[in-house]
Amino acid sequence: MKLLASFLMVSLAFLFQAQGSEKVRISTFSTILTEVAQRVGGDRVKVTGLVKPGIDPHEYDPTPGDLRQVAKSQIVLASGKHIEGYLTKLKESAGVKGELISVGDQFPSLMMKPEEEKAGGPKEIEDPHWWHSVENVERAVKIVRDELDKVSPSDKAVFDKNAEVYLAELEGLKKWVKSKVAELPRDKRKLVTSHDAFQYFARDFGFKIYAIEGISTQDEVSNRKVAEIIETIQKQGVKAIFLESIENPKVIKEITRETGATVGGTLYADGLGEGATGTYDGMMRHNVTTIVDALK
Amino acid sequence: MRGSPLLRAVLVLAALLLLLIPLLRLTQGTAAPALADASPAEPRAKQATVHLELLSTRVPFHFELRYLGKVIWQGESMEAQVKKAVAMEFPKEGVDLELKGGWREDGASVAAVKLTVIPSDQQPREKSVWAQKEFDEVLTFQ
Repeated sequence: MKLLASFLMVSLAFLFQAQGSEKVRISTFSTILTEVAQRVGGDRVKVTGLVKPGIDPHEYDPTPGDLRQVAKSQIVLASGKHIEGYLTKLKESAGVKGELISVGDQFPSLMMKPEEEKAGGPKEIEDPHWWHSVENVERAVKIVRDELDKVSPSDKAVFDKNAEVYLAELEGLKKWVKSKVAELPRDKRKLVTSHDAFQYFARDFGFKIYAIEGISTQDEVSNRKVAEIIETIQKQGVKAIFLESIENPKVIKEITRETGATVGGTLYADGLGEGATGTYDGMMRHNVTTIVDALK
Repeated sequence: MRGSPLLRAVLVLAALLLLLIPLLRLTQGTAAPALADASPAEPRAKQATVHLELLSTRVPFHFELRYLGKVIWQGESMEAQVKKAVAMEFPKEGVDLELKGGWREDGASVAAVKLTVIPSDQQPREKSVWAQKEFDEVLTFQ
């Protein structure tokens, strides 16, 4: 009897330990949210980033393997604001059992005109590039933390602590960005980029945007638009224009030839890069330093 | 076609020259007309005298004021109010000033420093920062 009781106790202990060590399975469709989930979840989560660094989220299409991964996840994090055009189809075909959170849909959007207005199409669309505002990423951290607390209440203390540390780092980053941008006169804050992805950044730091393309890297650039941009660069006295990590720089190079403006560098518009730009902090510091130093 | 060979050669040459005009326009790029129409770049704001005032609710206090990454005013004051005139640009888009500083002693409650910026011939603009001991904020004046 004594032996049986000991055996039961040991078995129960193993069972609780096994349950306790089971990690929350998360899939993400954004490199930013992959970092947020990893930072908040720590060693209590297993995060699979389906959109990898360097992949254009505007053009990403889930593979059958991705659908299988999504189906077995407890939390699926999407960027939202309609950047993932496949989301409705994904919900139906993958049989998502876990929570599908469109993180960006839970905070206010900036609106913008689509590059080409189609008959019957919307006059304005939501700008999906919310992560260029550090405040929005702070909001995303809180959303992910609350969701993790709900899915795994026994790990709440860990998630809350991790989120607190990460939020403090983001506050530090926000302060650094403000200070760095303050090096640039406000009348020189004119940003010419190869696609319109920096509205949230522009709103936070007083920049005016002149995008060569519209919202998506899939949009074709019209000759009329290029001529308009050339005229604007001349008129506004813009010193430098910027490329993006995922973009074909041909049009920008033509514009610099015509206007005498220089190429200020490459910006990460659609997500994290690799190496030093492989973290949100690194990406923001790279983008802000590139912009400020080129326009000074 | 009849006529002298010389006349025919002149006519052919004239036709070729006429063809050359649109050809030149095409090869020089479509953006050229837009460039010709572009107005000159907007002039940048000129430097002018700007009066600065700092008012602290606790003394002594130390401070450092940066404009475009450079220190334009720094010091420590036993008085609650200090003033300085500086030469700087004040474009219509406004200026960002980074104000750092603090007090030697922690107070029982938070203290404040008010920065007043008075560009020449313009209304004063004010911003305040609140802190327990140290402050470091970028203030926008428009």
